[in-house]
Amino acid sequence: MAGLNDNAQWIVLMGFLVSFSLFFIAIILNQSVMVGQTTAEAVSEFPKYDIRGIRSVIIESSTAGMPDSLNVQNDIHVLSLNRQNSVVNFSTTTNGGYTYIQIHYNNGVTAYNETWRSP
Amino acid sequence: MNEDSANLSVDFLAGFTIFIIAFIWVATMIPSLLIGLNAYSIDYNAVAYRTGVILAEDPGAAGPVPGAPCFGISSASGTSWETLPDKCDIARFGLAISKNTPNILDGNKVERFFCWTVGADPNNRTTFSYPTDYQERAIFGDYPYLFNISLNIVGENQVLSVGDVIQNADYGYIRRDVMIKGSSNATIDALVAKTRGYGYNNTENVTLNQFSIELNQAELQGGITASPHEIDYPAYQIDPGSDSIIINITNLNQTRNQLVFGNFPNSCNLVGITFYEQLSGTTYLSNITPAITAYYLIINGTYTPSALPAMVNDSVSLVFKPGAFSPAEDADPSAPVFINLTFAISPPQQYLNNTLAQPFDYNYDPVNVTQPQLQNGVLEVAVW
Amino acid sequence: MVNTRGQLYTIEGVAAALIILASAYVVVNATSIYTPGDTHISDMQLEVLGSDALVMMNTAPNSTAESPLQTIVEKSDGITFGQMYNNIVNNRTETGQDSIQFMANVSYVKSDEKTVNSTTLLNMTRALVGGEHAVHVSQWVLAKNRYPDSDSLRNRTVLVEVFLWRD
Repeated sequence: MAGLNDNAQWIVLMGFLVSFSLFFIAIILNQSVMVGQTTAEAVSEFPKYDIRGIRSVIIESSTAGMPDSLNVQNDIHVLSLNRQNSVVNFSTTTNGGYTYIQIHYNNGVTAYNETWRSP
Repeated sequence: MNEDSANLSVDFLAGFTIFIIAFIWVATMIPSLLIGLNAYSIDYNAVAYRTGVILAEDPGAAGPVPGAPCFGISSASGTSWETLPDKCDIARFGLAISKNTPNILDGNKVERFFCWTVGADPNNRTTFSYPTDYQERAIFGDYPYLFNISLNIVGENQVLSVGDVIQNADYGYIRRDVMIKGSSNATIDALVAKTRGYGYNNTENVTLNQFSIELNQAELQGGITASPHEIDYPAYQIDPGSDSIIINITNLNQTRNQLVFGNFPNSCNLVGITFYEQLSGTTYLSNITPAITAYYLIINGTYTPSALPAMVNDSVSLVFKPGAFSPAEDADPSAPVFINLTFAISPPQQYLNNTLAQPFDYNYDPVNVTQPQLQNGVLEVAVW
Repeated sequence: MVNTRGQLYTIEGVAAALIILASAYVVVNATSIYTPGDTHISDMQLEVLGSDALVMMNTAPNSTAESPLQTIVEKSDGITFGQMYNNIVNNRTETGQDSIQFMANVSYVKSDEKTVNSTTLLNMTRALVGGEHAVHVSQWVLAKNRYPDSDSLRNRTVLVEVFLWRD
């Protein structure tokens, strides 16, 4: 044989092409498993009940004339940080006969801000 | 002839054949890689959860419904969808009382929701049909999901449900714990009449005795600020606009002065029910006439079509259906309403009568009115 | 005439076939398709149920009463909590009870205003032995109570925490 004979290289090239496409499909399928992050995970991750609970306790504790309100509010800060891994910050102002409470909540994944006005 | 230009040599064919066979064999293996992916079976639980949230935590919405047979023609709005007779005015179901009271359901909405038949009747636009009406208003989505929604009120023997019996092994499911708000009612018996002077202190013997009940709508909606509890929480509120109001008057015979008139009266009839409202901006009472279907009477324990005068032995119950005082019927939803019952008794004597005393106030005082109670319930949604 | 000319085609064909087969083997052995999130679905259902039950216990049945959970926390009444919670969480629309187990305790802030303590448990249907797949739900309660290391009877916020699992 004189020199390199490259007559059949189309066949090998097609072989390579097919195997590359196989690898590509495999990668896509592998990634697709993770893309289907289910609704269930998203639901569990969103702290709906935590936010509702904290909000109602904050509003209850900010009503005028409740004894030990500073202690209760400190309880809320400490408990939410230690047991629910979330930071809460709230403050009360009065304006024109209405009470306004500004609530900030952040648990690292979800942040919630609200200004509540007394009815 | 060139020796290496034989593209169709037998060796070429052999090599090419081996390659093609291997390629075809591998190509037929590819579908087996996709076997594990299946879209529908992951979906059902998400749909069931979403439906559970819509029913338990959302008050629903009245509004236009796109698609046949409604075609988006409706001018309704608000969240009191249970009072609307035409289902083309109901855009979305939701059983909660309001968006601020999640998991607390309205008894009237529950009753209306579970009023259904299988299949569509084009002439009947009040009863909902399974499954299309519920798919459009609670389940949503393009796929025609079949479902079963059940509600068990603890303490009652009956389980309310809509939909098919679960047949598949593969279905999405969610269970919610809820509370259902009942209605309030007032009972005026001999003891109440005596302690408040409804008739006992009357020294005059009269033929016509009037008994007046007051529904102070502004006070009921705004709650009492002076009481121990502020009732502006919708779960405990008495809302004349959407709740049922029931007034029971019992032991009527004992409101007579039996020392003087020992014998049973010759005749004792309820001759009239009149309604007055003090519209805002006025200082007088205006006459109002609620629809004839807004209320009904139960006299002596039996239902009486409103044909007065009716003979009264011992008890009268006045039942106002939900929506009797709704904004559609009542021009001024914050004005006090007075309901006057007129009794004619012969021979003339004392009877249930508060013309010389205060009207009976239907309010949040538990001595006056049995307040609405919350009952536990379980709501289950299965979708397949 | 048989000679060795053209054998290159055969060899290249065989080589290509071997490459394809080898890569297919590697690919099929490496990819594992599984349906994701199965455990998350049952976790979510349990969490929703447990939270709902706590919310229901923290709602007063009418406008004049206190919520049952507040009364339970104020009196540290574990038995009532156990019965009530068990009833609510295992109730179904069909006959027969579900088999959900739970373990509950109350977390409060100690008198130094900084650290949190959990009381010995409120109640449990069975001890957590470690093999269960449990979810955690909690409910905020405003109550008055005196806890062992606190010296004053005052209004306080506590967290009622429950672990739930299915047998």
